[in-house]
Amino acid sequence: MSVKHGLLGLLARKPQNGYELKNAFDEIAGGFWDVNFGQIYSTIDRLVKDGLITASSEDAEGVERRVYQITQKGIQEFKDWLDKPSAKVRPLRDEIFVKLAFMYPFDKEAILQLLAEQRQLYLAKMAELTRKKYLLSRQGGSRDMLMTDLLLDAALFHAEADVKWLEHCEAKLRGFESIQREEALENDEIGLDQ
Amino acid sequence: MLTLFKTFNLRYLAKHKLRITTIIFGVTLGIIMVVATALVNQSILRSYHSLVDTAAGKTGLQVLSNTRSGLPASIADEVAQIKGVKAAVPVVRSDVFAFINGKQAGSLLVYGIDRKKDTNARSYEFSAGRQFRAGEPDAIVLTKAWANEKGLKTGDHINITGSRGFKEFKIVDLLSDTGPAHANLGSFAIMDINTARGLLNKAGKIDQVDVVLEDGEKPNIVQDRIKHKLDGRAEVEIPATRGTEVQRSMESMSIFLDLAAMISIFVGAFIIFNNLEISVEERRYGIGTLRALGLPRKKIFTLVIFEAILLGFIGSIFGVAIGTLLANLMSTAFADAILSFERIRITDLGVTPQIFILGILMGPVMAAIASMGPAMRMLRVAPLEALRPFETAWRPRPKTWKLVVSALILVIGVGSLLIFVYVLENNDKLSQNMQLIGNFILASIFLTFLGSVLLMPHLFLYPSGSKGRAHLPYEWP
Amino acid sequence: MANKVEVKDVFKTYKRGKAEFHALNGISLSIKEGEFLAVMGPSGSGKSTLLHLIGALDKPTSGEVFIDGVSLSLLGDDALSQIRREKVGFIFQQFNLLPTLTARENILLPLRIAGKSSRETERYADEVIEAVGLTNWSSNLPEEMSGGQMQRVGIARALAIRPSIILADEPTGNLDSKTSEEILNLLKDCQEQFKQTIIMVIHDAKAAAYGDRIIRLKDGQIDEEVEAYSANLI
Ligand SMILES: Nc1ncnc2c1ncn2[C@@H]1O[C@H](COP(=O)(O)OP(=O)(O)OP(=O)(O)O)[C@@H](O)[C@H]1O
Ligand SMILES: [Mg+2]
Repeated sequence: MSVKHGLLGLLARKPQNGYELKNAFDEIAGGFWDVNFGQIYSTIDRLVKDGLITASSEDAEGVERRVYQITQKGIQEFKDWLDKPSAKVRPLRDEIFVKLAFMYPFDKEAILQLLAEQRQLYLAKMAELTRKKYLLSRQGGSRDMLMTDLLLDAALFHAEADVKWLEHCEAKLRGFESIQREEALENDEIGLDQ
Repeated sequence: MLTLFKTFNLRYLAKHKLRITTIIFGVTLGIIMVVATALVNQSILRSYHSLVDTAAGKTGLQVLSNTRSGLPASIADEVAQIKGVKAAVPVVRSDVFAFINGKQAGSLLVYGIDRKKDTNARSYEFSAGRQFRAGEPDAIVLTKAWANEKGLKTGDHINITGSRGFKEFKIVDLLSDTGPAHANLGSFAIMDINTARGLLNKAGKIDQVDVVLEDGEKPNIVQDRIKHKLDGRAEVEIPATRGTEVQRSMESMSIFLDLAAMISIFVGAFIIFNNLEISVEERRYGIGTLRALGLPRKKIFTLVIFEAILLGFIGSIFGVAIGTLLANLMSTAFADAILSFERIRITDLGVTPQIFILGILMGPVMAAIASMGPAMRMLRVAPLEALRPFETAWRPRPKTWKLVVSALILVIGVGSLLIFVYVLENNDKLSQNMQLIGNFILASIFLTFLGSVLLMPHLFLYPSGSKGRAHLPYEWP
Repeated sequence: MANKVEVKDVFKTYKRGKAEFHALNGISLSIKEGEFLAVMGPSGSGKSTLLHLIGALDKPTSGEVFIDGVSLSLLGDDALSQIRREKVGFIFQQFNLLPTLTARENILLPLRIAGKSSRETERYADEVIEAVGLTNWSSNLPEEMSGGQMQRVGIARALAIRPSIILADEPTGNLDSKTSEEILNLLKDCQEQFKQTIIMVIHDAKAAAYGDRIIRLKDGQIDEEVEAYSANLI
């Protein structure tokens, strides 16, 4: 999860300017990972500051024209990153979960509805990504395409997990609901007895 | 369809060799006995007819020697005097062996006849019109059929074993294919009576006198007169009586043969029914798959029946072959035991077209009938049955009434057999009646096997606790 | 475009002892020619049952199924068999291979049943065999193959005759995700190249996303329906 290492990787191939970097990044990340120019340039600044890349000074007439080059240190950093497995688990920061946490005690129907809608949305998006993937697979394979394909896969696997989780939530909520109903019934009966 | 048969049926068969061998064996078993029995019965019947009907000719009574040495020749004249006798024809007869160019050429029934007198009893038709002269030595007349079979013609020579070793004869004429030429199925020859005496060392003797009766005379009355006159020096028989006796002993033999055939058919059918049933039932899953892939019901039916017919056919071929072999063995045994005594030999064991067709058709028909039940059941296999795991798949539901009925049939069959054996041992009168015994045994054995055939699937096919159709509520019209 | 398959108010009721159980509880559905429909739903929700009815493998308790505008309830065994062998390619959840036939023979079986075995049709079948990655396994018996390989034989068998309707019951249930993807791409090819109509029962959302439309069954009813391409990208 790193624009920083993405840029390092791109610069390791060849020196290029910020505009080219943004395009190359989009090509690989294939639309599922939106980065804007602001993010690109702030990352570049940090990389220059850390001495991982250098900006060519020969053409200084405007930021966009400046061409960046990776340093020895940058290459080292990129290689280390490549070799190291990702340690971080994807943080569960979906807002849906937050909504869930606040919503549940108040309105079961609404939360179930929300879950269903969320799931449908995910499915529809997965369908689109899949379509993309399919078309890509039928164009024959270059290395870049493989990269894009893998990234699409990552998105799909994540989405699938989310869908599964949503389904799971639904099933559990419904189960919980019926348990509560039974408990309520039992309480009623007890009440009647007394 | 054929490729389907090749891949679906034959592949299965190839994988289940034991089961297939068993089915074929079942068919073979049934057919062996049927063919053998039919062959032996047929040949007995034929030789019997040929002897009694053709060689006897117009003979109304026969005077036969009651010793081995024969009768004095004069007895013929003596008999000729008796009232009611039109002619008394002396005959010297014997079974001899023929050799052609030093090689065994089979046996011949030789009649030494008195040319003049013999025409009263038999009418010969000589093809060359040459015959033999009275007292002509070394002259023999064969039947045309026999001569043709051995590749002989008029003028050829043939060696005959007499009581003094070989003697060479010249074939002077041939008998056309009528009347006496059919005697002993054509293995028949005539020669002058004196020549025959010389050959067989029977000077002054004869073997039998064929008595031709006056028109309107009753055989048994004349028989009494002759008996009275001869006073025990010879037997006097009506050929027909002789025939009945022979017939009776042969009938009882046929009954036992039929019985054996019946039993083997039942055992065979029993094996076929059970194994076909299982072999088809085992493929219920595959058949469901074929149905799901769009094979119509009719074709499923055809596949099952066709397979059974093929197996039946293979069984039939073995059955006919082995049956013929067995018939040869049996006939030798029977001929030694009973028939030679009656001067009847089983000479012709050739497979006639009728018996061949019977044998070849019976296997396929038997197998087709046996496969009818499973085939009908496979018609009802729903495509979805293939989608169930095997354990929960449909099994034929054991019907209680079927179980009871088949058990009942079995009990009746076994019971009547036991009762019958008991009665037979304690009742002499009954034990004489061959016909009744045969029929009764047949019936009870039939019931026993029917019962066990029906009962078998209940023991093997339906595992206890199977709830049959209850497992699968697929309804398919 | 004409409706290739139409399901009208279909019920399927099983008897369980004395109680009745509705595996399908009033389902109506139209599938256009060349459409790829994914059917999801929890276990026991009636997905396979629905697929069997569409594939003329079973009959509804009430309601009607139309294929190319013809109601299956009006047809006899011969006509239904013809639909099964000529219009429908069924990929079974349990593969349903004939154990005595090799992979290739199993795959050619529908051609043989339909009497359409020719050099040309077999060539297409061999292409399918290659596409599912079984070229090296074509002369093996099912018992010598893994679950995934058997599943691929089942898939190739359904595709070999190039039916106008492909009914797939969990076609990737036994496959790893890479092979799954290849198979799903292959199905998608069938839709794109030959305009075959595909109905696929599938558990996981990733595979269901291959459909143009995704429906979810619950308790024998259509619970929800999602059109693909209606949402914006994440
Ligand atoms: N022959 C049958 N007899 C009785 N009940 C049946 C029969 N076939 C299916 N059912 C029931 O109908 C329901 C639907 O079955 P179906 O096979 O369609 O489910 P499914 O959605 O395909 O499930 P899965 O995802 O597990 O394959 C299940 O509850 C099942 O028990
Ligand atoms: Mg299912």
